[in-house]
Amino acid sequence: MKRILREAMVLIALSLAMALLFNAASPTGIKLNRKPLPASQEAPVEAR
Amino acid sequence: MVSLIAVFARIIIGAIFLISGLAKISDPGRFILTLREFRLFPEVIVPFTAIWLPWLELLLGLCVLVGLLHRTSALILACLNAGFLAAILSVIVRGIEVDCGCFGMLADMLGLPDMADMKAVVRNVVFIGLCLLIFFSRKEALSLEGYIRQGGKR
Repeated sequence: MKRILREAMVLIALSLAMALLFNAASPTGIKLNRKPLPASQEAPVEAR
Repeated sequence: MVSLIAVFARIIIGAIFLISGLAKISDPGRFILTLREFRLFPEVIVPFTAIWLPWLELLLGLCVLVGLLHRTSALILACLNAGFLAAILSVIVRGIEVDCGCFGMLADMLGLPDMADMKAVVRNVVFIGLCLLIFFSRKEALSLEGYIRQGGKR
């Protein structure tokens, strides 16, 4: 049981590291921690 | 016989999750839209989930396929599939018609049905069964882990 938990943590951490690294390096990566624009700076609805 | 079935299950589950992970990684924007359509997660964690989940599927699929930490990987995949199953059942109960997003852009390319319906529920139940079969099968036939354990003498 302990071994399975340890292996699971390794796999989850490894996948997380791979995902974040690939996302940061990829030009089509998704931006995390993007703060929402204030209402006055939001694009008009028809332009979205 | 049991070992042969377990190897067969490993090949099927490993290949499916490897391909499904790759298909989602190649089009993260689409996966974000799918997650939003499910209306299950708070908006804050949707992009993070869309980035991480495909890589988790890819890594676990690869581990199951080559037979490295495959029992643990199969157990995590069973839990992951149980989560997918709960998500699909929730949209069915709420009457939301949504693309299940299980195979990303691959479903469009191959013309596969990819809706969150009862077929997807049955498919997930079968996947959970195969994952548990891999987890409870202690045989290490045709696995990298078994090869390493025997010191490469095979």
